[in-house]
Amino acid sequence: MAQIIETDVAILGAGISAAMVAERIAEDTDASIAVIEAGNRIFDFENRFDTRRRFLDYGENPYRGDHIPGHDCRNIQSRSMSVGGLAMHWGGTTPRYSPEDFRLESLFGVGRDWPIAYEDLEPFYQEAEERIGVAGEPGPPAYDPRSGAYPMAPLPTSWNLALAREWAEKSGIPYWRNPVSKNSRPFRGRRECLRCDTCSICPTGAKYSPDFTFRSLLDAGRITLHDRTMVRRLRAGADSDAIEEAEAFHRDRPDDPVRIRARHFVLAAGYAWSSHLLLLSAGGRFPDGIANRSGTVGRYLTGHRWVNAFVSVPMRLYPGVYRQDSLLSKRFQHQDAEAQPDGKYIRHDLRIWESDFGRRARIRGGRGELLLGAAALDDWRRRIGTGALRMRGYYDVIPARGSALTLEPARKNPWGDPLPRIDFADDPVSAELRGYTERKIEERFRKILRAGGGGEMLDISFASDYDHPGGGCRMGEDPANSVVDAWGRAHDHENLWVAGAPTIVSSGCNNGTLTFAALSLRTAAHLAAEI
Amino acid sequence: MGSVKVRERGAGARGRRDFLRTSGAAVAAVAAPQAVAAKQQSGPARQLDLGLLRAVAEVVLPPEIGAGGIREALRDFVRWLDGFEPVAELPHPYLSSDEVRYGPPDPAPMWASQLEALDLLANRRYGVGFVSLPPARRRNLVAAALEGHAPDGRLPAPGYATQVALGLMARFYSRPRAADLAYGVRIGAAACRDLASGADRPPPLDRASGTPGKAVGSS
Repeated sequence: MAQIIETDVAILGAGISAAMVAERIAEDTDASIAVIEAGNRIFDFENRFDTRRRFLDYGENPYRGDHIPGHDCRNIQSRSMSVGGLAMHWGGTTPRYSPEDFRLESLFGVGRDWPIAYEDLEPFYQEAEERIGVAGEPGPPAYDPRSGAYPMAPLPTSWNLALAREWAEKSGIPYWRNPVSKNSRPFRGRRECLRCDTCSICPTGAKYSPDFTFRSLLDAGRITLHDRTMVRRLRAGADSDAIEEAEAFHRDRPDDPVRIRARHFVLAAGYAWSSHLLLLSAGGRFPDGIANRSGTVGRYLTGHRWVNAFVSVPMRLYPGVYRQDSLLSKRFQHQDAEAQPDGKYIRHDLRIWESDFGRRARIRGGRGELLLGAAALDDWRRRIGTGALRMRGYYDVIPARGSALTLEPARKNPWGDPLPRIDFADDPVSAELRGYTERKIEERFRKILRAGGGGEMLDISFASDYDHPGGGCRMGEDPANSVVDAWGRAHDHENLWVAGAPTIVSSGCNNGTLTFAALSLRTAAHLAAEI
Repeated sequence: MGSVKVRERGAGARGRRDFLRTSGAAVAAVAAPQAVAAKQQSGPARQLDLGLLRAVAEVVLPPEIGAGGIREALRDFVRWLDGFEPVAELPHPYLSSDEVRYGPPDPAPMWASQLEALDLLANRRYGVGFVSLPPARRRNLVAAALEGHAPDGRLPAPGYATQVALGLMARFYSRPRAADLAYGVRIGAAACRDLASGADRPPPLDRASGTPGKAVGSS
């Protein structure tokens, strides 16, 4: 028997972008809102001390069942698919993108400008920070502009990080506390952080995750939440380009269709599954997929790569005080001669964490000899006289058109729909600059080491894949080469909106979640005004 | 989730000192075949012999933790093993993999047989059980058993330990209190505690009265 869900707004997906859209529309309008999620509803906050315990003891997944067996995507960054999405186990790191990120073509002659400027998004950054609760220390305005204060003061700087900051700033590079969505005081019904240091499974609720928003909206009767409900097609009307219906099924009753009819559809399924659904919906008047007259759905998948180093520093540190705490510098995201000294495009952030690299207990010494009894502890003590830090730089990569999610017709999920694959590809500019960029960041690490005095590079590695991916439904003013407009509305369908990560044009040099949330709020504000 | 039943033998019901005084004769009387038979009669294959386990712990864990520390480490190890879920689903967070990953199988049967092998070897080589050997000989047997294990020197996550002695060490050194012992301060890693206390240098162990700040909930 078919189930029909009729609603004013259907939000497809239930991650942080969906949470932001749902909350904003619920506040601004009286519209009925249905949130549709293929994954499970894991509202298990009450159990998180226990699941955290098992995560610590056994390394087990603290969110059992947060994936759909057989429903995967080659090269995706995570199998996680549940109410709350990836922001259930995120680290809560919430830097903004830099103003320069939105104007790469104008400022640097590479990539593409966004159809919006930082200033257009800034109020929504602020709003996102206030909704999810961000604790932060403002950076220098030249590198980290903001119109208002952070909602919360930064978490107290840990002993290790205070020493690390003093050490790193001898290089003349300014560092400040990385902003985080962790409460430094009770905030919006959630308690303050207790420094449990397992932020992927926060037992106290101090770290924001979207389940809090959804539970709150459910308690208030403002949304209906349909979990385990997989949307497999969007269908436009016979005489109109407007989306009329989403065809879905409940995973417990796959033979019974679920038809979702709404005035507005908001696709908030992340960078992979949003594009996947649009491509799956090909047919009839839309042979290349819904919202894909430009042929860019699934394309221009973007992200940044990292250079990661572990260094020894001439000070005694105590790993474990607060591993999640970190320092940030956006010094080299700015446009100036020091940041881009050779006239080449290079932009990256810098981060520093405490580390126990090379300072863990071991069972064999440097010559392979066994360390039993007192020998193991003695060996450990000999190696902790100096501390270790982790340094990392995310550098901007310009995506090629061929950086894409495509369908694999021969590989299907248990319900017969083709599964996607992702193949990231650099624009030729970024491909050519890759080696230069990696060497330059390493040079900067070494400069910090020299300035700090007495340190040593212990290990350095270079990412092969993209981090914090986005795109696939990029925004733009020209319907010929973008999927959605500056508000996230599909060029091809007036009642179809795409929220968050899929809409970004480039990934800049910083973690993306706050930007995805801000973009979602901006989309929601515009949509709410039309309801 | 299965359970690990610990069978006491040898020193289990007595003080260690008493045991060491009398164990030579007693354990010498336990011929290897009988030991195997006893194990088979007593239940699941994963059953570990706590007496043998303790005898291993005494030579692989740091002596400065004392008999009390050894007992505590063994209790923790057994509790940990008791809660082990074979082939458990592992996290697939951001930046992990497009594959769902699963943990190792139950290591207990392998570890139990390795303990048994140590005992058999001690009997065959020295005519007494492993627990009755002086520490130096026990250490040599354990070292020989560890040949080829952990060639990179790293202690694995305990469930991945390919040798029972490696598992004991891996669990002991993975716990926050081992780091406290090494650093000589109360870092209290992974304990939920008040936020502000992290700004201070961790207090020395000899001055610490428990954990810094107020520990909250399970850690």
